[in-house]
Amino acid sequence: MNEQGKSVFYSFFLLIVGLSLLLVISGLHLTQGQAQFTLKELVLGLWEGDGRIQSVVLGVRMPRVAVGLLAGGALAMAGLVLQTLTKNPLASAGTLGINAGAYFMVVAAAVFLPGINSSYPFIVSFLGSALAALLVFSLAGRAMDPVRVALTGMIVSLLFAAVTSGLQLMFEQETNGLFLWGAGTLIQNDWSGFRFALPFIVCAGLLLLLLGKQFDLLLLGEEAAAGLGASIQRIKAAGWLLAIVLAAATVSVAGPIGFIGLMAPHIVRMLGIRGHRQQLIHAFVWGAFLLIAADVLARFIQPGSEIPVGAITALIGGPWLMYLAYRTGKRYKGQNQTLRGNRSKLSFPWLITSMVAVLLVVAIGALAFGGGSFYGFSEIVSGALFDTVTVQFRWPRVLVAFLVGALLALCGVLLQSVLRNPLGDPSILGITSGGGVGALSVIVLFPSLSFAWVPVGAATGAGLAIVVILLATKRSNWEPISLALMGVAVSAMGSGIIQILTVKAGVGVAPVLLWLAGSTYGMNWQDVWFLAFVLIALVPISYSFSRQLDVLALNQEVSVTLGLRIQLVRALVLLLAVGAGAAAVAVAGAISFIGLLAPHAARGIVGVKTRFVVPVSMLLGGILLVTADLLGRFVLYPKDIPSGLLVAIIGAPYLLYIMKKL
Amino acid sequence: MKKRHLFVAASAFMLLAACNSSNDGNGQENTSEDGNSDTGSITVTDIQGEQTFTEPAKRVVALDWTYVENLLALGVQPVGVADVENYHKWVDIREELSDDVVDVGLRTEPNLEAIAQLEPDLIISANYRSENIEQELKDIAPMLIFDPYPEESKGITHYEEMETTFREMAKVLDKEAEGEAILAELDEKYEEGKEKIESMDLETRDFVLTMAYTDNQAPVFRLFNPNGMAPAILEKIGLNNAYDSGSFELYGYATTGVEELLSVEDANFLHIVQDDDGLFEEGLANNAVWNDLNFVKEGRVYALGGDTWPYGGPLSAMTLIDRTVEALDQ
Repeated sequence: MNEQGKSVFYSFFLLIVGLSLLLVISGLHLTQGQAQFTLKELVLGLWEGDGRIQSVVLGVRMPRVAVGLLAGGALAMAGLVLQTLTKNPLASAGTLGINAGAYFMVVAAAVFLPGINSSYPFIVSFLGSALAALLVFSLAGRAMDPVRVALTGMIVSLLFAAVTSGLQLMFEQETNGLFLWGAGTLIQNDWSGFRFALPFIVCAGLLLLLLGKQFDLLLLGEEAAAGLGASIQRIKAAGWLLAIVLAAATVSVAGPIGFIGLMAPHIVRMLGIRGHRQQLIHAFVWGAFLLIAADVLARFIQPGSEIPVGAITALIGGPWLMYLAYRTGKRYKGQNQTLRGNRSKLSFPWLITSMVAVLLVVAIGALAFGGGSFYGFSEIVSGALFDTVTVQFRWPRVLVAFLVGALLALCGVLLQSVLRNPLGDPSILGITSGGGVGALSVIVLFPSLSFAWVPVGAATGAGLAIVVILLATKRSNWEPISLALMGVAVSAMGSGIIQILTVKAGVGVAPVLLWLAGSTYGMNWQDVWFLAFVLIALVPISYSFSRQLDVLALNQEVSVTLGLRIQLVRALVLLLAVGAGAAAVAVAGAISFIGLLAPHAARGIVGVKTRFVVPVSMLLGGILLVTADLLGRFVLYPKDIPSGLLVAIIGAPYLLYIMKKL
Repeated sequence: MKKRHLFVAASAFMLLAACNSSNDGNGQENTSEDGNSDTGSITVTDIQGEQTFTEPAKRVVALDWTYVENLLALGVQPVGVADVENYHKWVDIREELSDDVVDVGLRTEPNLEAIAQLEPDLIISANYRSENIEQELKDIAPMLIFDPYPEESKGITHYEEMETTFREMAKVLDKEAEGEAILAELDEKYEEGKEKIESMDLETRDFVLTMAYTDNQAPVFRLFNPNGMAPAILEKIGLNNAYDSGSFELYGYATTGVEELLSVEDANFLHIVQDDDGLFEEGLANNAVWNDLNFVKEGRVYALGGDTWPYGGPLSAMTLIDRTVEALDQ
């Protein structure tokens, strides 16, 4: 047997193994369900034509397995292609934000264009997927640097997730049915979902198989591929389009399911399968196996009720992503970006003065609004801002908004300097997601504990997340890129756990969503004192590190020659950042973006010197959140829009702009 | 215009409140034994224990719909209610909520300042709704907090909790006579309902009650469990709850899919589904298991209407009975 023959044989053998496993797990899946039938009863019933068993198995259970098969396979193929296209082992429909985009569009359609979802589910989710892919594609730059793509995908996911959960919170009834689905589920009523997805997935799959050889060429590098006569642009465009079709078809029948597209292609490569055609076929089998196995596991853990399969795949896939992140991180060692900034002509004291003035105006506006109307000028002059209700309810809110904004900005500045990564943000480093898991665990798993324990849970979760990240990246000496990637992995796992807890919360889901969206609702003076204390403790220390941070920001070699004890400084500054971030998260929940936005804007005004950046970004962060708090109370009065959501909406355009410029 | 009126009213009540609070000091000392004499104070029990009020509550804010409904049953219009719009969508009882009741925002996130502006003398809420803002609410007005879904270990059923809470609310409003009248009327209703059910020629008196909805294309059934309140109500009119999840369900129902219905297919299927849900038109129309269920094939599927509220108080119970009797009588 020649070399090629051998490899074909090997591949065929593995395929048989994979298919057998798939068959076994599918059989196991069919025996699960609320109506208790044993395997024997099922087989006999089907054989003898028992109508009841036939209707259960053929009518409800088989469609579920069949959709699992299609969805798992489609996600795996999409992941494989996306990994080739972006030359990024971390790419998949989930990590690129494509699933989040599709889900966002479905929720938005449910709220604003009810009816369109049931008529055109594929179109709605296709538009969302395409939007997300376009965003990531245009923002990550043509080079498709793996790390940037992964981080950009993460941010785009965050962006969509923030807006989606806001919509769910504001339109509780309209989106009620979408909670479970939001985490991905394979439940089917009949064969319609399968029939719907089948043509899209089969066509896209076959086209991909046809293009297999072309994708092989892509891996050789663009020039080599072009030399061999391949039209790079056309193949790439086709690949993206087909991958998006696969992801969108999956989302429209099963919801956003992550990690299958990440894991399956890796299993295939680990098995030593070469060539895209072979890989696509194997990936389909393994993806289907993984997804159905996850569904079996979900129903095994809690028989009778539905744990979303997407949450299970996230739990399994999170550690996998950490491992991949670990390896990728090592490979991309030392590719740091330096932080850039502009120095405006405005003198620093003048700048600070004018910012404080803006802050005062916004704060007075925020304090003057409440109970449906603004105080008039005369009322303000006569001291209305100090009446009991205002002092009791508005002052704490406004002050907390300012303090949380400032702390998040501080956290962002510190993280970005120490990671030398302009995308450093508490939500990217797992702090927010870890905090979310901690807080939700308290709410959902220990409902008897008083609400006062929620911040404790949040701080613990945030601390744990960062410890895990630091330990996992220890061997790479806490290289910035490894850190960021590990953060992405931990965040992803955290959001898997959050999804499970959200579903488990049932009726109690609204406060959970409120917390996740990040809110300055219901603050009291205790929160103010706590945050003020943290701020007063952390700011001077951070300031005292400003010179070291400036040196660190240059690059590692320089800082070594300058005699900085890099590891120590880095660890200390990280600790400070976590402290600031955890305090903010503990009080106000998962408010994203401020840690990213404020430092950027600040560097755009005062340059990169830490001692200038810190105060300016803290002021900016504070102003931003106070404004969001005011708008949140004002726009839909008496309903309250979580300020975290408004920050996302205000900040998103700016964020997209700076990411484009990076 | 309306705002202006409110402001005037609010300031007037601020004055009243000021007078009240000066009385507080005297009132709290003479706690009488029976808890509610004409001159003395009122003692009410909620999950926080015994609470003493010097005067019957007049301006009440209700943050959960059960308490809105109880207030209306007792002849008191609340001053503020959370999420009025959805209240109308989900709860239909014979007493109407007045149009000048102020909406104080979502049930999950009521607007604290809007509540404070109303100058209430009592705020009523459910424990699982307001835990995170309890302190803030108490700074505005005294609170009564009830637990509509008591755990098994509390030794009180969901139905008993409904009656107890209703009586406690009647006490704090000084409407005990009215309260007892309503409960007596409810008992009569049970008897009437029972007679009607007995006079009907029903194939079976077994029932399963569900609140069902579409969860993105998939039907979800909240099947009420024996420990829930709504089945307890329906059993009082001579029907038998056929469903049992096998364990205590905290909210009184188990959340299931269509396969679970196989275990109750010989019962009457009573459902509460919103009109705009599309559950039957889209989710179940081609579902093989659903179409094969005995109650579907034999035409024992009964709609109670989306605004039958199975978690409420006596008036919701009456609606539930009326709708059930009406539906079965066909």
